[in-house]
Amino acid sequence: MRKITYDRSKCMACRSCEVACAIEHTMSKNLYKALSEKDKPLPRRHLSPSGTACFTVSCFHCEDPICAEACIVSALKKDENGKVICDTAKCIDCGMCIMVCPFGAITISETFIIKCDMCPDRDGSFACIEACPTKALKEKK
Amino acid sequence: MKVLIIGNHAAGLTAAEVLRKNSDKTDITIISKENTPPYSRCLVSDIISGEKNIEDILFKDKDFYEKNRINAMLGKTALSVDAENKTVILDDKSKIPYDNLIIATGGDPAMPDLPGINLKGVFGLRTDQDALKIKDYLKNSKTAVVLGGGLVGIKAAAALSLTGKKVKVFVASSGILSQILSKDEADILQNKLEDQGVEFLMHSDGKEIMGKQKAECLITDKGDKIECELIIVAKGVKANTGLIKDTSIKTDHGIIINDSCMTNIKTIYAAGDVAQSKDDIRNESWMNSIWPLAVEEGKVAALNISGKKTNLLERTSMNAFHIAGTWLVSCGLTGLRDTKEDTEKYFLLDRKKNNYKKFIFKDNQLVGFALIGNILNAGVLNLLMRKKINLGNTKDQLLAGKYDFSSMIPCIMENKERFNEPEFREVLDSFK
Repeated sequence: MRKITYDRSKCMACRSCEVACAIEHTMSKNLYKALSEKDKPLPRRHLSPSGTACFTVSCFHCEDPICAEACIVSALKKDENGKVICDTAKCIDCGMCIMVCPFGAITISETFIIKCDMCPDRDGSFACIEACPTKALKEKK
Repeated sequence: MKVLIIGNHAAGLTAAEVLRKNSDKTDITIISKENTPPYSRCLVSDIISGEKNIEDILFKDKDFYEKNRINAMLGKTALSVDAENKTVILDDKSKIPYDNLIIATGGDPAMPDLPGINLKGVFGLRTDQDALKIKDYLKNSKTAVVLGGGLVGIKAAAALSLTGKKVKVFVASSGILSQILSKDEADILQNKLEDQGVEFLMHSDGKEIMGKQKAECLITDKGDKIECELIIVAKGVKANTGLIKDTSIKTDHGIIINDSCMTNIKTIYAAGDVAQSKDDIRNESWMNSIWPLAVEEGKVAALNISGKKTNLLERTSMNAFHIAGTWLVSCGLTGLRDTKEDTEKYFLLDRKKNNYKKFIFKDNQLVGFALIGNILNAGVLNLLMRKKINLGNTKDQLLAGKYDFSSMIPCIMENKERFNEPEFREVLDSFK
């Protein structure tokens, strides 16, 4: 399964990953145009300081996803590629997955939940990795 | 191996799916008294409001049974279990043999012994068919009464109010959702539901339902007469344990299971709302009738039957929902009657942002919390609670509202031995 890894020692806490992730999930995929879109750009990756260093969190696409077990409408599922995906048409925004995700990797919009979807609109690359200036985020192959 | 599963909802279906994932050869049969495709029970109230129809609340794909090669016997009721001969006897007198049995029969609405309870217009609410009947009956009703302020009653009341009908909810205790909320949280939610048009009568209950053939009015325990055409009885759920009454399976409020979901008979497992297991925060056997635990129990029962020794994760009561325009999460010892002298409680209220948080600690451990409004990172709190982490200075951080995962890493580092899942290992490795 494809995996994004994070090397803390290289991270400068610049938040480029957060910004790139938010823009990737807009209609226009452009920072300036996105600001005028109806839905606010929201990141699926969150960076916050921890002690003297920092740490970035997004969905780990867990081996045994507890969020999918808690989903009462079976919107959250682990697909055949190991990705934990949310069918937003089914999601009723009840908050069960947020209640159980130990990483706080799921956030919320007015109508459905928001989580890392591994950039389905891209041709195999990841917005956060591409935006990381120090290569702290990498794809583990 | 022949595995028989009684029950076609969260626990039963998960068990079937996990059994198939672990073996091509297992012969899997599901028996259910309901003759409908699997749907999500949590959503039946949305049928009443018309927000959803049956198709929308289906929980598994149409080809679920076929794809997983499950023999589904729907519309059949399992009457009794013959543990000695390892067979289950159905209502049509047929006998179904098994090597391992999973009882996931759930519960039925508990109907109190009130005069008039059998009149037309009085309903329990559990199944999709119940919801459809209520929706249909509602057409000729002006006022609806809900007896009970638990989750089923509250969801039903919210749904009824969306249809524009008058709704009165009778709550026996001082606050709604008294099993999972204390008075402060209950009042916030009650206000929101009142804004939506629901009327609450606290410390009140029904005493008698009157009417010729159909319900026409409710007599309250205070002697008042409330005119109503439709009554939903939501006074709790009783576990469907009738089928094991001739066996030696131990029961209390439900079927007693151990950490591997096994009953006291080796070949019989139980899972979901019919099962009763240890609550790790209460430290006693408890009926936690919640979706995530039903799924977990179904999975663990199936894994153990498949020869993969597995125990249930740390567990306690937990609920999350989005109702009357707000989100609410409540986990652990948050109920009205859970107040103990040896616990410390803290409340944080941000009126402007409509955010409310409550934390309950015991011996420096988080044993309960409730969030209304902003529920983000609830899972991180849940993790700290379930892993029984000694919080130390982190407690102040929680009270300052700072409990994102990154902020909790020091706590996890100090308790490495409790975090063995591969994802936690990955996090810990990055701190080497």
